[in-house]
Amino acid sequence: MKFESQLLKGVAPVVVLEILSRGQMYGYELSTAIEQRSGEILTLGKGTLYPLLYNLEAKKLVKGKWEKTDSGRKRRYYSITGRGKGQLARQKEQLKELTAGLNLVLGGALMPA
Amino acid sequence: MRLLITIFGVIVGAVCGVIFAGVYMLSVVGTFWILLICMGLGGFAGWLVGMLIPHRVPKEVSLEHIPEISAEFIKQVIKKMGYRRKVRADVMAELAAHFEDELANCERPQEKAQQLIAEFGDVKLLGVLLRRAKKRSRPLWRTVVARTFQLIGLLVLCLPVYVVWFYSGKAVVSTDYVAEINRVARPAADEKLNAATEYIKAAESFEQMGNDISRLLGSGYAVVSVDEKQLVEDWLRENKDAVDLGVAGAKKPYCWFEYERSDDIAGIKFTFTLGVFRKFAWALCWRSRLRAEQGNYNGAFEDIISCCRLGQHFRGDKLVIEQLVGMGIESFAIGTLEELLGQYEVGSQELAELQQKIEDTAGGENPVLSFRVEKLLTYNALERLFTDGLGGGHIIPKAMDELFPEVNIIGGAGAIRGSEYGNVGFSEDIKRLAGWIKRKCHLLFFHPGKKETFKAVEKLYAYSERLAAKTPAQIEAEGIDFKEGSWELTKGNLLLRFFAPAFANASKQAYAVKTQVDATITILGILRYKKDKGELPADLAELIGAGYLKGEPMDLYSEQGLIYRKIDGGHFLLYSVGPNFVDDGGQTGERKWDREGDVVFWPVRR
Repeated sequence: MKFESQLLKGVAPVVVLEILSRGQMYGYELSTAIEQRSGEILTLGKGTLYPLLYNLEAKKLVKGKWEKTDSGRKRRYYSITGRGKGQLARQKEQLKELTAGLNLVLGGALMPA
Repeated sequence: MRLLITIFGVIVGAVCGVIFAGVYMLSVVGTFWILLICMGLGGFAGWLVGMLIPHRVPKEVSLEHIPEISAEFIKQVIKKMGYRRKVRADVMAELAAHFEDELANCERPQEKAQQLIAEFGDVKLLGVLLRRAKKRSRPLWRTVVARTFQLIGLLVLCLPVYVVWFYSGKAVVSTDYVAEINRVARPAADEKLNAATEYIKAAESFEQMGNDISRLLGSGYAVVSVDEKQLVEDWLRENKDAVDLGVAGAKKPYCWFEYERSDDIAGIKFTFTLGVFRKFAWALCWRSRLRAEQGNYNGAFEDIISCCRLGQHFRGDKLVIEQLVGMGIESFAIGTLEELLGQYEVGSQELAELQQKIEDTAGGENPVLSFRVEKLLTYNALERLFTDGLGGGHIIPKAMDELFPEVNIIGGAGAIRGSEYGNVGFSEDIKRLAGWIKRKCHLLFFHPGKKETFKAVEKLYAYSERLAAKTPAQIEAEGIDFKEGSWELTKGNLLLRFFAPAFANASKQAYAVKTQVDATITILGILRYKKDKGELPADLAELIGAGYLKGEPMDLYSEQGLIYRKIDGGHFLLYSVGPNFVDDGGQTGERKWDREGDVVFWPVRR
């Protein structure tokens, strides 16, 4: 599904942090994981993924390091930091409240079926 | 990279060293060592930082495993991204890995690659986003280094523009200080009372004086041969009219010269040469000696008095250099008189008349230097040495060189003293080069602007006037160092540093002359007393009580009276404690006003 970019902009870091909170991943892996875990509803543009990862790295929410994969190839693995975890928790809480608010406004339209 | 950081450290160290040396106005030697130490420390710090940076990024990025179209796309993105080489390699490797992963096991890699490229979006935008994100993640020290390099680069670019702007500055003369100087220097008196008219006419003869005569007049009277004495006597006879014209001028109560405006950098022109008046003083003193030798004491004393008046005509509201010449002439006349008194037996009546004339002429003289005209002259120079524009006006190096070429000779930056170059072990050329660089840098970056200089002038002259009003004894008692004080007030100011040291010396000279005059009046009183009473007075109080002296002569070096003592053989001793402020019992130094010993006025030193 194609989302409004502004709508996705605020959610994308939370999604990336959430996925990385379950284990370290490299770029392609992360991109695929987001699609799979969102039932292919969420797709992070490739042109957005790496700038986003670098921004999160600048904020010290994730950290990247070069490692060898099982196949022996070098990949840059990203993992969530302690700060990233804290940030994720705060943002998830905010999203929960946002959803509750939107639900009330939209008459329960956001409630799971 | 490590090498670059080390070099950067050395540069930063050098800049810090130069700033440190500039701020603390260090000498060449000091600057050299500080520079060396700072460069060493900077280089070491740079090397240390370089060593701490680990190599985490693969050096070579292979794009062989992905289709050519993808490789080209990545290269384009990286090109648009710019930024540091290692970061670019890092991103390149990551993008290549992504393409590799996406295209792995793909049946139509070309098509998939096309699709992927489309998903990545615009090359330029992606490059910009990647650069921004990477820049945000760089550590603070890297940001500082980058900004410092940028700043240095900017400064290097701006430097030529600044130098051109600085050197092309033009002075704006808005006030006619020459007119103001003429107004202040001229007393409220009729032109007929101005001795300058006679002096200028007489000066022509003295200007034409041959070198041999000039040399003889400057020599001591006692050391010349009979033939040489005859030569001077002949010259004096031939130029009697000129000397008498000068004497006529000396009888007038005032003397002022008109200063003229000039188109050159100085902006002021003198209508007379001070050196001529020194020759005139020599001639008068020589004539007085010749007259005394011939027994014509009244004529001799008349020439001495004329010489004193000539000296006094250069005192008061005049330039400091003029006042100094005046003091020199007066001191020379009084010194000659002391010699004559020590050499010849003069009658009591003649001594009384002479004492009266000396008291009338120089007795009540104020030894305090006047800085009014000097200050105006400084302002006049400042107007020609500074621009009047941005930042309140800056110094014009070319004008400074033109007006004060001597500053170049001492090699100083106005901030450093010539003596600081002594015994440093550098060759003369290096010293000269170092002095030149330091001076240019000082002028360009550190020299105070016009407003600051005007303020400094006010402070310097206020300070000089305050201290000039104090006797040497008062200055010593208060622990003031006149020279150091004025040096401190003019720190870093090329022009003012040129003037300042002279003020302290001139002030000392003024008090020395005053002490000398008072001592000579006292000697005349004592000699008269001895002639009349057949013996010396017991002390100066007895001399004053008997009406031979109006009051106790003050020793300006002790704030007490001059020291009088009777000695064996019916002689007496009259002295000042002198510039060392200590009573050495009448023991003199090698020269009369030496820092060591007392200044003995009687008996006269031969």
